[in-house]
Amino acid sequence: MLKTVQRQAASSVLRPLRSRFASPSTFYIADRQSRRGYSSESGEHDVVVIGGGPGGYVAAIKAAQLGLKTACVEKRGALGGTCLNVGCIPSKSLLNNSHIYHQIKHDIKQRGIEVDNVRLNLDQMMAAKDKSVKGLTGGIEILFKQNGVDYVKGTGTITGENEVKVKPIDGGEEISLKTKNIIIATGSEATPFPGLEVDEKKVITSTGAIALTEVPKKMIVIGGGIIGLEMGSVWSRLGAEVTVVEFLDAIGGPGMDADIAKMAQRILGRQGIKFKTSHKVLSGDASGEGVKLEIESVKNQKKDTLEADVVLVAIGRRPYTEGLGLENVGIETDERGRIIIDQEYRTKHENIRVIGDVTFGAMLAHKAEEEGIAAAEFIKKGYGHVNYGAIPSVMYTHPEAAWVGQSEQEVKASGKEYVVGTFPFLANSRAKTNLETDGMVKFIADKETDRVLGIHIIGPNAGEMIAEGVLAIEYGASSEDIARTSHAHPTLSEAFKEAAMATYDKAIHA
Amino acid sequence: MNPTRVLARRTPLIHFIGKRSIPEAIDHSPRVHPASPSSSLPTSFKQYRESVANQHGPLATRSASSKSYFSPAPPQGQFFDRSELPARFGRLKWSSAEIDAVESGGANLAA
Repeated sequence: MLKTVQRQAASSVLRPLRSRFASPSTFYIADRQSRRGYSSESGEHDVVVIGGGPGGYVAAIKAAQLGLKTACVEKRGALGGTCLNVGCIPSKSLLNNSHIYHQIKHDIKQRGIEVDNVRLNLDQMMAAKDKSVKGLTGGIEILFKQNGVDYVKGTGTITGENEVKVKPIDGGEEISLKTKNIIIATGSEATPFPGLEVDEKKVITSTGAIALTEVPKKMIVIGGGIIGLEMGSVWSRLGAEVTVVEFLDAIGGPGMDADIAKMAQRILGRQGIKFKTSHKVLSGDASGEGVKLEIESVKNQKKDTLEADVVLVAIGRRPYTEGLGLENVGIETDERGRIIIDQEYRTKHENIRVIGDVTFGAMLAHKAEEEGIAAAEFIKKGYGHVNYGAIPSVMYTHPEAAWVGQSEQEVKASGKEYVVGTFPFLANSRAKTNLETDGMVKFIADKETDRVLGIHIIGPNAGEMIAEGVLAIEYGASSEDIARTSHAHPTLSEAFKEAAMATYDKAIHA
Repeated sequence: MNPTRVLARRTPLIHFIGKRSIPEAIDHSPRVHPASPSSSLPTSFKQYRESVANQHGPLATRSASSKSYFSPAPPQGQFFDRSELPARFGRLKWSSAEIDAVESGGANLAA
């Protein structure tokens, strides 16, 4: 109930905020400390982050850096989430080392190096992967300590708008964390394939694909997306006969340009991977020694049976909200299980925000990181920023494929007039000296303004090269801006410059 | 020299726009997330803010349009009584360690 009182009497209760952007949290901390200098530290947090993956741990560190008392709840027992523990990082270790193995076996002779008796030590390759993972996850714990983030190992459940209960992984007593703000960053999990039970031995997800104890003779990958192609590449290089079954008529990830997807399929096909595009899997049987899949052509309904030692289910990922307690606070999800948020990552509860795979947008670690920073800034400053038009995607096959902005198909569908410029790595001096000439750089620019709308690369080091494209999109550059910027010779990046030249004028070397 | 002069006259699309700063006016009223496939938010977002949600977030910068949903401030000339504030604005419960410290004049801390 409101009362009419003298201003002087009230001002001692509601003290003025110091900053225009200060939140009630700021006011609360300052007020409490001044009144209770002797008090033991309050157990209440400004922010509790549920999930310690790339989105969650970055949000926690940023919140702490902004002066907010922050805790991060993670149930895996190691920070870094899917990405560091069973996703991006371990798969990159295997991709890199399997590429070296494959190169030594099949490519190094033409470079004037002869090596005999090359053998695979899979245990050691896995140990190298585990060492990388352990080093990186341990590094985040150190960052937490340096930044004063409370790391709570356990399963976090939202029990109220301002409370997260944590069941410790060591089986101890349940902990109650009182908090002013909650950031949900629980990530995603592999989508299961109906009728095929994942045992992570014969029927595996990406988690099992980084931990096989022997190289399968035959492997089927269901799904020709980025995860399927990367893990298919690893085991193909190590000696498995890999077949990719894809429902669509092309492979690749969301937003990949059709020209790049075609070229990727051609190059990976040359490396030995077989593709069954426009095929759907009707059923699977893993009851025998291996796994049998019945597939059907989408075009002519012709059925076929495939057999393999191992089937990798890579048909996508779905938001992970199990045990999170969304029902306790009435937070809504959409038909695909994504938590519904507004432009400031808020659920219907203003103080409960959501970032990363568990909500809208691409399921990418770097997108989650950007959102983590923005969410922390929204809490503290009332302002944060993520440009969803400038989030790069990378497929770490060999060669890599990378893209940012719109594909040619998307631009065409928008009705905007555009120009395309391409440059093949075959005409790039450094690619030639490296004997790695597969691939090209493709620019799409607005026909009227020359503003870059999309950049698509398949070729050596595309994942690093795309950073320049992301900056160009973020800054709103024209293709001529890039073409008139000096790029060192001889480097692969000259192909990037030449593709920009080809977009607004003509390339020199093609 | 001549090509250099020609290039010097060209104005790139990329140019320095100064240090980033927080915009003066930010409308915090809930809108659809830019990556959302839907074109509207559930009605619960508005309903919740109209009913109970008024104590979180950067309230000082609410826009006029969203003020009615969010503002925790009492009307002009009226003020909250301390006892009516949410519990988090209240005094902390004394812990037994603190009580012991006060009663012993701090001696127990040195014991």
